[in-house]
Amino acid sequence: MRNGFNRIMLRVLAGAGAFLLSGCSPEYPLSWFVAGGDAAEQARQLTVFVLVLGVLVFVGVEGLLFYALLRFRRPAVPGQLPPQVHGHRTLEVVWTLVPVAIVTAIAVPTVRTIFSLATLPEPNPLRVEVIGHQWWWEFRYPEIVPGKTITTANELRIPVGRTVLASVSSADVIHSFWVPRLSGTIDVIPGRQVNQVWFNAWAPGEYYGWCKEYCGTQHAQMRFRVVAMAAADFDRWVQARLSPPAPPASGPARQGYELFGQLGCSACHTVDGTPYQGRVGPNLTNIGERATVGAGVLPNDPQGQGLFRWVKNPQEVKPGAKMPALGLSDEQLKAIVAYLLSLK
Amino acid sequence: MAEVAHAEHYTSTGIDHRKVLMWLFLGSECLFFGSLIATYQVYRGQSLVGPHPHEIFNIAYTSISAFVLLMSSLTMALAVNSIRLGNLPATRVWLLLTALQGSIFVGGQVFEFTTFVAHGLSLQVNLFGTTFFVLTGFHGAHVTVGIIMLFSLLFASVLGRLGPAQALTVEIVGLYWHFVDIVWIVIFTVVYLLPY
Amino acid sequence: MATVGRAVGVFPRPGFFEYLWSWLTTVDHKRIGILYGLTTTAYLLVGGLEALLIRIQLAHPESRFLDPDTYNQIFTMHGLTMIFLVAMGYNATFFNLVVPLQLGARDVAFPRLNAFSYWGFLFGSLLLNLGWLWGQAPGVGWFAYANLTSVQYTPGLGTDFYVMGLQVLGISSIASALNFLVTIINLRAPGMTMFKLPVFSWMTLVVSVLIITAFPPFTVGLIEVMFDRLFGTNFFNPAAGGNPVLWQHLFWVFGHPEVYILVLPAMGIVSEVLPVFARKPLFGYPFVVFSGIFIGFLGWGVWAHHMFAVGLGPVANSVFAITTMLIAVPTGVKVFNWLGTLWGGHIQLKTPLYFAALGFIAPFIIGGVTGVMHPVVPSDYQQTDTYFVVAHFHYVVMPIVAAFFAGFYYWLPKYTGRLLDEGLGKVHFWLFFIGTNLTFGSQIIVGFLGMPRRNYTYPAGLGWEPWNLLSTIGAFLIGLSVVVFVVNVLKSLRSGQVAGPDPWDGRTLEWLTSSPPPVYNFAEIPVVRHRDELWARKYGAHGERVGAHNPPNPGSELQIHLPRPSYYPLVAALGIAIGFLGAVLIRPAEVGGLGPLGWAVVVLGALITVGGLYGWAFEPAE
Repeated sequence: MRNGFNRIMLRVLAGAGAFLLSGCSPEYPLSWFVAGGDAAEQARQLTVFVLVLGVLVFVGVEGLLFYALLRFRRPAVPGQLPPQVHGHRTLEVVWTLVPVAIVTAIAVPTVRTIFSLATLPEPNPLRVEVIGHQWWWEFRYPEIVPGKTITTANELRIPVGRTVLASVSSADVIHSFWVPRLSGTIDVIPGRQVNQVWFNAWAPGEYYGWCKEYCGTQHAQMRFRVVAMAAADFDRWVQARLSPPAPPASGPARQGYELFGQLGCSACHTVDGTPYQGRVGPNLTNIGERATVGAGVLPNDPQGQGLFRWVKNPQEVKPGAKMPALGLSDEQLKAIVAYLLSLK
Repeated sequence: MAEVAHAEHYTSTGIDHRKVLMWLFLGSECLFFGSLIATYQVYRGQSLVGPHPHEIFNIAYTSISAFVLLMSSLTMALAVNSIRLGNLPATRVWLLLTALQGSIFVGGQVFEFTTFVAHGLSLQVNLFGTTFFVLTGFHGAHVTVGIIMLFSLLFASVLGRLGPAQALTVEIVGLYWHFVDIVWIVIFTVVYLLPY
Repeated sequence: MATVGRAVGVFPRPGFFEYLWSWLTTVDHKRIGILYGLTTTAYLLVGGLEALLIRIQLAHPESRFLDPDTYNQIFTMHGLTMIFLVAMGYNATFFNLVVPLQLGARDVAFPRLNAFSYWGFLFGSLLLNLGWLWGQAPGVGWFAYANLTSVQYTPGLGTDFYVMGLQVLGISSIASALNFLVTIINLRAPGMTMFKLPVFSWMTLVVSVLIITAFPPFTVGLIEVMFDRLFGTNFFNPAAGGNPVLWQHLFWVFGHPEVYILVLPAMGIVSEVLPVFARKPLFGYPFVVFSGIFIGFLGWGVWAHHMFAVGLGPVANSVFAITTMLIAVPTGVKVFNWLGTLWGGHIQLKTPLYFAALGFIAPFIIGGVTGVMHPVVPSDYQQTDTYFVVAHFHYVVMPIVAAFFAGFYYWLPKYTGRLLDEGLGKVHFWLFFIGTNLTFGSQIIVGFLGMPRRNYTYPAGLGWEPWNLLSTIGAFLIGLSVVVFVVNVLKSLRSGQVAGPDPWDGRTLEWLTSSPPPVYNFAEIPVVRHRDELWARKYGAHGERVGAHNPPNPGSELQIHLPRPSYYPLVAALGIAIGFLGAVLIRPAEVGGLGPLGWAVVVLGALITVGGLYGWAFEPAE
């Protein structure tokens, strides 16, 4: 008996410890107990309130249960029975009203926060379109300057402090958009329904995002990052995206640029400012500056090892991904990687 | 113990097991048709391409077949009444008439489906075709099952195995039949009569 | 007309083929209950093995133990197996074993329909698992969200096995629920009014109502997926304007009542076990019963709490948040009444009570507390589809499994005539209890650290590694505990202590008759005057006759009409399963089907079904 009780107490302590750790440590980039923006902060405060209430209820009820089991433990004696009590009306009323009170205490702030999260806090947000694909993310900044749209993939750049309004839709099946430190989950649904969610980031940095709705073979590796930048940096980035550089003129990068067309990469991928305008796979215009390859699967190191491994055989890295292995020679791979790394 | 119950005849409610079973089953069926009708309603007017309902429905035609089906509930009730009175010849006539009216309804539905297909409405063409055929098709299948049960009763009467002792069986088949009719009233209203 | 003149146990031993035939054609609820129990235990081992494979894969980051498609099939089948085959299977086991005896009835209202339900369950479960032979088990999750289930995104047979297998299981479940409804409505012993009905039978009644009302919408959803896949309809096709969210509504309108279908019988078992081992009546019987009914009723109004992230809007989300939170009230009432039952009793800490009080109530409180955190919609936006949710519902379903174990330690002696071993029972309990808390306690934490579910792999460096490893270790402890249970049952069959009719000093009618009971259960149908009829016969309604112990009398032997064995239920169920198998095989040969030849199998199945039903209809029942 004691063992069971100790175990439960241990677990509570361990849970509380982890909770505190996750609250203070940067090692848990997907824990929502650290908020990085207003939307996530509203959810965090509510969660902590309910969690504390829950732990109190847990301790109280488990305590009563274990007390009863230990206190009234008694061998059966023939000819003796405990008082045959059938019930108690007042007690029933009390223990109906207590849960009602607790639930009310939770329901009121819940509904308030639901409506608060459904209200856009800023009339003129930065509008982005999020499009889920099996198994990567397309991000678009429609009309970021009149008449011009930026398209990128797997890395959403936003300015610090500005409210972002994401309109999410899907090109194939249902996905789910989630950046725990900035924004709760919103489903990404194909067809007519375009969901919207707002969030902002308090500080520059990388915020991890993850597809949360099971969407097939590689659901596990459909990750992305939100990169929050100082407003001036963001504006510079936008200007750079709007005027993509000319294709490389010489060297391995030039060779890679030509191979990109000859080998058929351009059937699926777009590179702005070139004739390559495929729309099936991710837009690669700024692949060289992204932190990861393959929707968060491999690090995109400056030596190009991640890109090399990915282009050589995506199926080895991410089995089931829609990109085939093209059977390229190491020479061709190096040229392609050099070209891709030059795209910044 | 003085009180010994007879398991063969005793039921707590006094209602026969089979009758309770049929009532509960029909309750379950309400949810089945309710879900199909809900699907139809969710997709009402959502088709991206035609044919649309107002282009192909012939309300007068369908009203007549609906009327035939409703009349079959009357003959079904008369069949139940006759078997309770022990009037076997009348029972047969009413059962046969009920089955025939049901068959006219199903035949009418087959004809209607054929006409619609000829007008370009198929299961695949749009959401209206998908939801219409599946909803009314499942209802037609239920009517067909009812017709099979009615003919089974007629068959049993030919074998001499239908008499006043089986009045309850006829009554239970009747419950099913009335239910299928009522469902059609709902479907007819929702699918054909409500403005699209 | 079959008549039985001597009391025959459940295990007579004639020649092997006669013996086998007698089981294939049995319509005896006790034998059907045993068949359900054996089949379900086999699936408990299968589903448990699947759980262990999942845990091995997730023990370390970047594991290559399973490839993604295999992992996805395994987690899908783990969920389907545990919900539809294990929890539903054990429910049917206990309905069959316990309810007719508690009612003081000779059998269920429709013994052959009961046999049909079992065979439908067996063949449906085989059909659901048949995809493994093609290497294509369902891999779309037990929730099978459209439009991932369309031919375009899952071209293989797996989704077809899901759609067809679950339709067969649905038919079986509805048939069984109808049968138990009629039984409880119509076959209560004379004098047993609804408020003298034992709580387990009450919960069976509520659950049966939920089954007959919740399965039809699910069946309609399955039919729509089937039509989309086989005939190219547009129910869930966004390109034609279809909305995949419709499936989520149809699924969860079924899926949430399904959760209560799983938990209410377990609550019934706990409500039976606690009074017996506290030696006092259930505290607040009408409140326990009404809170069960209220939970079942509310179960209909909360489905969209599975869909907060779908974007239904703040009003809908608020409404479903509040209805969901309300469920905490009747659940709390139940827990407090159980505490009231224990309070002031003479508590006998035997294995059934370990499982009911510590195995069910203690972790169920965690399931309840975490449950109230989910309708807090803004929190749910974060928690949904993380391991926090996985931990939450396992803190609900593992207590259910514990309640089933409590039920087995408590009731199995009634049917085998032998008690299970108390020592092994305690080993079983502690392994199970520690394993459960280790596995799912770790998952609460890793959920708080943001680990999403249904991921076959995860990268290192997110702080998830130690908790996943602990969770895997816990899972193996649970696995070990189940082995101990199986050993305990086998040992008890060989050499267990003889139970006698009333080993626990029971309160309800099943302990009135011998262990194992005769085929006809009761020589004389008892007449009921009290809620705890047997207890009142032994001790008086208020315990006033304590000391004047009055041993129960199974009654004299009589000529009793029994339903005749029949193989038609088996034939009809087999025909249905073959027909649905044919519907799987209609899929083209490139993906492993037979193409149009599949229709031949459908027709064959239909003919067998019709033949079975006609034989059944025209066969004399007695």
